[in-house]
Amino acid sequence: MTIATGPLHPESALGATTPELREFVVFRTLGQDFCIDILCVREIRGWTKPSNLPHAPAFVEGVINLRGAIIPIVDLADRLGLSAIAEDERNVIIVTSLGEKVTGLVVETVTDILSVPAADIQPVPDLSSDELRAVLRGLVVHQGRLLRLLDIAAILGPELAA
Amino acid sequence: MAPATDLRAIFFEEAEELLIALDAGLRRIEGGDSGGETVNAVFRAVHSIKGGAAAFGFANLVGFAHSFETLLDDLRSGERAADAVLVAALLDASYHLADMVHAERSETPLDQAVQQRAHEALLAVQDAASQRISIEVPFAAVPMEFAPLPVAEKLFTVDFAPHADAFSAGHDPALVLRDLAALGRAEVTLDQSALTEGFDPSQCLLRWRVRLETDRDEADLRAVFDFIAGHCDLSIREGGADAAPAGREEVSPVAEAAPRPATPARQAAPAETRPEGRPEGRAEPPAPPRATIRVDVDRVDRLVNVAGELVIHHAMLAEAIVRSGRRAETDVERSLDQLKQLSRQIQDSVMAIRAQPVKPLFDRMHRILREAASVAGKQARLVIEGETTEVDRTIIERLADPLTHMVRNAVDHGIERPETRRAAGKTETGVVTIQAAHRSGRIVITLSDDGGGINRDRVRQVAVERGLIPATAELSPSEVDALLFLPGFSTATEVSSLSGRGVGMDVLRSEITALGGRISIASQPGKGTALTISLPLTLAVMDGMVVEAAGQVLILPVASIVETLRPESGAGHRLGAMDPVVELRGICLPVIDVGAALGFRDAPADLAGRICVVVERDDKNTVALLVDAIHDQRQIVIKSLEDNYGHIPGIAAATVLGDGSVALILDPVELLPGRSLLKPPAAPAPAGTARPPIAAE
Repeated sequence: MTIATGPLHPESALGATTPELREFVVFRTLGQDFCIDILCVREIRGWTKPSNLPHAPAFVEGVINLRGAIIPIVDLADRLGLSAIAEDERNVIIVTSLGEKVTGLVVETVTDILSVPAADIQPVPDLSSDELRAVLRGLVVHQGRLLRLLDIAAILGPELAA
Repeated sequence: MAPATDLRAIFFEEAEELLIALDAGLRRIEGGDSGGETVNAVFRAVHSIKGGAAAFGFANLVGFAHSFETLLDDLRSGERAADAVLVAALLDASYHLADMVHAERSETPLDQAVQQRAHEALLAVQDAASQRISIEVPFAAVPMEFAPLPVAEKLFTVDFAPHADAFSAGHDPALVLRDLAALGRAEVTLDQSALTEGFDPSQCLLRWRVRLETDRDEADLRAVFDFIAGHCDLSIREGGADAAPAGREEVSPVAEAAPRPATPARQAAPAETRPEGRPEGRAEPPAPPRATIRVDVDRVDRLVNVAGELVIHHAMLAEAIVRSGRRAETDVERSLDQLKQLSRQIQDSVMAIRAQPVKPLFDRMHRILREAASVAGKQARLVIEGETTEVDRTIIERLADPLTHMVRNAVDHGIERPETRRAAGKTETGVVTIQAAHRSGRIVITLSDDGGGINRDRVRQVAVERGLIPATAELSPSEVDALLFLPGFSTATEVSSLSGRGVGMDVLRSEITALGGRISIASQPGKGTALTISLPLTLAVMDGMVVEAAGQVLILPVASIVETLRPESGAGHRLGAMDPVVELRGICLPVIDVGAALGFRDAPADLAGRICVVVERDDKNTVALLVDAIHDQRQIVIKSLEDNYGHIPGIAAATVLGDGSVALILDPVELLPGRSLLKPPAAPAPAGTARPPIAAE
């Protein structure tokens, strides 16, 4: 696996027909910065201790009650193959909705909401981790921070639970 | 175009109701009631469907409905008698009409050949029978019984004069007048002549004359005055005020000129705005339709959800108040109690909105039975009991398939062929009975037939052949019957198109189990078979026992709990290395540690200090579930886990506790070691694998 050195083709990452600004929610977990499309985010809420789920993948921390709906909570860092983040009252839950399904992502902190011209999104270089490549959709450099653009659908695919 | 779509939707909804009315009417005709009103109702239903269909340009539907109508018209005009041939043709036609409506609704055209055949069959009956009537029955005019025309409205004049002490006796004439006005159209005249300046407002000095047009009789009118009878002068006469004997004491001259407009009295207003009373007392077979509104199911579901939230939040509020130490303030406590009652009432009422009688579902089975019988070459009729039993609509919807299956099974496997039945001394027509009843918070539906019963020798033989049981197994008759529920079991020697593909009973059972129900079978050789299913009344709330295992708060459905016991140290025995058992009154029950079964911990070595909850499985097997503590028993609101996550083996659903946290509801059936204990817990997510790690199954 080598890192691509050729010219970057931003369009290839997103398809050529997105000249407008895209808005992202920027957050940080385990010291890394990420962003996801704001259209998938329903709300951001404080930490609630989830109830354990049996027979669940390790990255599924459990379920919480979101105004009557039971939603699973996924540790994003763990899901991305990093280690699990420490349980902390200051963690936040990003509630995402994907189709009919609502899922919470636990991250350390939400930092910004960012508008980025689609042309500024850089493609993902070759990665050693297939796991990561499956969920990364691009990179954004913003004020010296490297934001990893995640594909929520790939992270919370239908395989989250059978 | 939205409006057109709306109209279409309304047409189909109405057509659906008309089809139900049509079916009910035809069945009454089948039962021998070919009275004018019944035939008229059937005719009207077909006619309305035709009219609506014409408006939307459903040409096939209009054509067929027209022929149908013609046939019904012959019946209505008395040209034809409602004989078996005609009734069968009418029923078939109604089924086909229903199919056509459904086809238009789903926009999937029916097979032309099928349509052609149905239409030709209808026309054939029309021709053949009309000939037959002209030949065999020269006096074609068949006497028809016409139901009495709607009773003409009668005019009553009611003079009502409460005594002066009526108020102090606790009566309110306004209420009486309101009830009276509900019986029909009322014109109320107030006589206030007794009111003098400075009158005593605690005394009732008013009198009323009511001209009431109603279809009720005098006794109904008198019944309105039952309570106040001792405190008023009352006269009820039939006919207008003019016909009244003049100069009755309690009638004042002012009120005598009755036909003139009512004095602008307070009571007149409510009386006139009241809708016309419904004829309830008449002994007509169909119950009078009650006022109903159409509501989008989603709206009701949202209401159910919010009502559930209300209950949860009440519990949260109560806990918060306890924590803040304000419980001692009695007014807080009282308000809280009232809030609790109100929220419970709201929840009950909301659930009642979703409750529906099982009648439409059961009525559909007539058709299933008829078709099944004709395919199988058997004769059968359906008897329905307890069709007014109500159950949540979500359950009704999901019962249709299992019930269809059961009816087909009863016809295919239960009812014998006519010649066999005759030889056995039974009537040639077999009877399939569906009964519904409420029993201790559940609905119990029994489907029985008077057929040959289960051939236990054959069942046993097949089970041995398929290796389901060892040849030497000793089974009680009911155990043999229960073999039918094993996957892949079918005794039908030939596979028929109705049933007998061997996917029958076990699928049926899993469908019922998925609804939180149980199914059992009972059979008497030569006398018949009965399948009994018992279901919760709703899928939204249930009684649960709050238990704790491995530090997790979990809910056990109370319905499945037989008893709880606290085993003494050493009470548990071990079979081999794993499988602990506990002895309960001489019976050994397998013990399942809930914490271990869910992968939260390793099974504990000793049962002491823990609690065994004995639960019953569907097939009457009992197991003991080992938990650490029992906290509470309460009504819980069932929340789906599958909406946002997925199915977890051993977990039926989830609920929200008083503190807002989520507790999982255990499914005792799936918690069995064979199903879940032996399943390795999901491996932790290995980083960097090609495919994202997924949950076990």
